[in-house]
Amino acid sequence: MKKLNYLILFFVSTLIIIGLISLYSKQDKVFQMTVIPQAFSLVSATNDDEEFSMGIYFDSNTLPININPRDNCCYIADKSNENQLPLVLLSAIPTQSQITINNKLFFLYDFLFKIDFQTTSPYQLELDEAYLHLNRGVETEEMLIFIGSLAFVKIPSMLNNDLTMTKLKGNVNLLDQGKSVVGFEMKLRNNSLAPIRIERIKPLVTNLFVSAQDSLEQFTFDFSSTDSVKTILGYQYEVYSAFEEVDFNFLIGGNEEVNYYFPLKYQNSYKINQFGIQIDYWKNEIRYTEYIDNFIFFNDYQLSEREINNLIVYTYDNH
Amino acid sequence: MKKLLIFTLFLWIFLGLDLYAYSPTGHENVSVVEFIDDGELLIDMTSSQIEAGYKTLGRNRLFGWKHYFFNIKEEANYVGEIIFSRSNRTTEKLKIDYELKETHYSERSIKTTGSLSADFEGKIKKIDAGLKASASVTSDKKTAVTRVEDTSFSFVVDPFHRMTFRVTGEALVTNGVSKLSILGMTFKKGTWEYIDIITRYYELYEEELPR
Repeated sequence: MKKLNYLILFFVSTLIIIGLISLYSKQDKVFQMTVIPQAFSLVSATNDDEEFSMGIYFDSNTLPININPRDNCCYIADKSNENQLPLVLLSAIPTQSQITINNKLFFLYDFLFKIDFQTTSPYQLELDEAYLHLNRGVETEEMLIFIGSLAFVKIPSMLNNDLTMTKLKGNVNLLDQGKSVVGFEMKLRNNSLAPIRIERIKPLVTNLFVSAQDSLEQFTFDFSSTDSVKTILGYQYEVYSAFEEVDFNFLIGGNEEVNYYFPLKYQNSYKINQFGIQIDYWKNEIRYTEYIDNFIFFNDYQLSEREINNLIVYTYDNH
Repeated sequence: MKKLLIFTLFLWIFLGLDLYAYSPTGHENVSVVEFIDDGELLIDMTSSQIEAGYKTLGRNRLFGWKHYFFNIKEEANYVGEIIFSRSNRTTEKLKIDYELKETHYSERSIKTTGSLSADFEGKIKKIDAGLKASASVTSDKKTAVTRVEDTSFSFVVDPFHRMTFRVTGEALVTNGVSKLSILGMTFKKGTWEYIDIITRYYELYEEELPR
């Protein structure tokens, strides 16, 4: 009987040891990570530094990379790696947020980057498909993560005397990629005596446009942020359909104020919750450009099952 | 008058009364809640409605909590706080640089009354976990996440105008009454309510100031 007890104890201990070894060796071998792709819009004045944060999910509650700005060489680039935007990783702070992907828990870290690029003149970089290249610190191995699209815009100044934006409100609908801005209300005031002709309104996001043909002047409808674009326009409107970019030719008389509704057209399917706006206009036969700084239209705290299922999970060796 | 003031101060100090900023919903930073379908905030319920909730709990257990829900994750729209409001009473344009940090998790506002104290928030987490578990087998297709947002923006306020940045949004409201029994006697009881913020919509608008 005593022998049998020893035998059972031996088997149980062996099984526990084998289980622990396999568990730890499995954890040590690889780690997984993912990012929710979105359309990043980074707009700042030429003399300003630009920082931005991004949430990255890891399947571990300890970070598999070292955080040291000197060690972590990182940048955002397009697929071919031809256009690059250098970054400095400032911090990676764990949050309490988690998601479950394929029955596996992923922990969210808030990564803060500084854009390591100075310019004294206006500059614009647009990447339809943007990839974050992140060095792992002590190791020389690089991680590559698809983050969506990126528009990086350095503008001369956001203070202009001719036009003042006096109202900005987003119209958010549920699209394939989740909640996304489908239009916005904007009121503009002409501070000069001369009339101003608006030639173009351009969201500073890659592959996002305003449909001039569907835009509304003298807009007075008091809409809720979640009203459908169809309700606001009064007819069926396709966010993804092809369209032709044409001039707006909206006139704002001297010292007048006009309220507009601008519906958007998407040429890709990333989630968009914030962007800056470029306004090209004519006054006294001279063409000017005005910028509205990056504005956050909404912030949501839920991911749909479809959004989670569409996430790309990357696996890297854990040295 | 002076005696009355001293008496009031005495009451505050010795009875430990707390002062709260008034909110029409009973929740700080939420000024209006409009339910999409049926639903009611505790503050809008009559005492007989609340009492009916307690009655539904029935007889006391020997030990443990009993809960009755008036609303479970009821969808609502809300008007939130004014994040900032800047007036320009000068004759020059005023440029304002604003930094918005939104690194919160699924935001929640909790309100308890009766003998339910702050530690009931822990209990609410358990209630919530139970609700999520039961919902996951029916129709819950959403996962609460943190949206990391750290953005700065600049805007111009014209002379004698005020620019206001405010938030509205969508929320889920859960409320009810609870009772804790020990040896069959009521040890604690009270109402509770929590509002989970699902989406925040931001809006910037200008108003003219009188000169």
